[in-house]
Amino acid sequence: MNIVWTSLISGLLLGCAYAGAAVGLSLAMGMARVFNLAHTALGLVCGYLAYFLLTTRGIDPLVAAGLLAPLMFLVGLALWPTLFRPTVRGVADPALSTSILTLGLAIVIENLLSKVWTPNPRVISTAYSNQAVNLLGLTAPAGVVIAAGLGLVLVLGIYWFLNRTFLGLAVQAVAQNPDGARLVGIRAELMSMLVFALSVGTAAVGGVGLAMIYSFGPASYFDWLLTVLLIVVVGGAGAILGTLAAALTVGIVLGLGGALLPQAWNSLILFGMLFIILLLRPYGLFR
Amino acid sequence: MLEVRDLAVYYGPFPAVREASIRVEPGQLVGLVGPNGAGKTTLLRAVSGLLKPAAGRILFDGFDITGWPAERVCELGLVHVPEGRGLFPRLTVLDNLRLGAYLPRARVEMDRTLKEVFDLFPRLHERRRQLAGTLSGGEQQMLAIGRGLMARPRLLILDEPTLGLSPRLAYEILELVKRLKTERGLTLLVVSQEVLHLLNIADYAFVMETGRITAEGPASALISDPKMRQVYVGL
Repeated sequence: MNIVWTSLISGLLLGCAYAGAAVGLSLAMGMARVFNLAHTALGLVCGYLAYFLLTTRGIDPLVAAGLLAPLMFLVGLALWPTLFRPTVRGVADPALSTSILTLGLAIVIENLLSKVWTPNPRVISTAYSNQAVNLLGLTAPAGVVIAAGLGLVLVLGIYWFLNRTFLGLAVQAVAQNPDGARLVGIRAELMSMLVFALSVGTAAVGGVGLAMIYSFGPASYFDWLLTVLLIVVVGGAGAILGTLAAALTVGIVLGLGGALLPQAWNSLILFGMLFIILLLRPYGLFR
Repeated sequence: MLEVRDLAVYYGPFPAVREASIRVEPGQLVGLVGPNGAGKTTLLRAVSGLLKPAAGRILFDGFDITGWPAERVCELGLVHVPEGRGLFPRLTVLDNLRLGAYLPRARVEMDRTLKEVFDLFPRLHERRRQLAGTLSGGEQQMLAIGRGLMARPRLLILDEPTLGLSPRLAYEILELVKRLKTERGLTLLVVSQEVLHLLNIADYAFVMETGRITAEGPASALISDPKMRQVYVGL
């Protein structure tokens, strides 16, 4: 019984970390109609940068996440007019054109990472990474608990921004009725850019979070991307709490599956779940 | 206050509005009538900046606003409540109204305007926590007008505020439009299929057919014009 509880808790923690990695993608898809397949690749860059800052300067990964998030926000602001707007403009299906663009971007990033940091796997290990933390009578590694906390704070922060600030409401207005939004004076194009930059900013936090849990190499972004895409589809694009709920579900499947079933079954169960959900509720479970 | 001169708007190669000229004087309620597909909505969308005109001039309050984007036009106090209402269906009634006062000019007076709108539409106050998409057609129309008022308009453009409403509700909405003019001194430009009622409350009206303005005059004169009565009122 104890192993069930332990793996359930570790699954929930993993789910929170994945929620942080997925929330930005869901935000960009739901609110700016941009399909960013480079989301986890950008997150992975930040994982490497956190690793670099830790090993060369002794900077804690939490601090690194705090520094990298605003930096990536600026990167997002720069990417929008240079790469994304030209790709979206005058295109019948922006989801298709942006997904091809960002797939290319992800591959470029992967190769740059191999060049700079070699294909060898890296691990972020701090003094506290493997210290046990007590949680509901059970123990979990501190690094995982911190990564989960980062993800949870990020998701709740985005939810708060969208629903409790005037700017967040304006962002939702643009997604729900672009003409209606322009007629009350909202600059729809500016809101899309802001949402995209915010989404790239969250990629930093999500990426550092996952890098604190898993060992990673230049191609890790792809495994992360599969899981994150699954979470976004199950949660419903743009549904922030849906993303959290889907991520927790995936975390539980991964946690319990990892403890009770052979490793090979994990993906089978997850993507089997995805098939069934796409058949029954193609717009997402929580939307 | 608003002057549109020889406006032309195209959808691809197809002209939707050709050489259309209209005028709205301050304090007036002006009607724009005509059959479906005449180009009324296209004309209004070009005025508010949702569409770019191919030719012609649009002047508002001395500004040449031809080709301005909608968000800048709104800033001047020209507020357009579009056909189909333009609401945000998954936001609450209250949030829809608050977004109406998005621009700084309107936001500083948001609380006061909100109270005025709720006085005008007590029903919206009752439903303020409800999602806009769950309102009835009549309530959604009230919300659309309410949201337009939140922007503190100097000219309010209403495109088909009576579309899809029961005759009784359509009557109520147009009576309210009249009150906006008489009680608040608002200037309005209104399109409606309720031609007889609209001409009864309007000061001046334009008739549009196949993209052109084909008749204009004081509403009382148009209403007694035998040809108008035959075509639009069915009498």
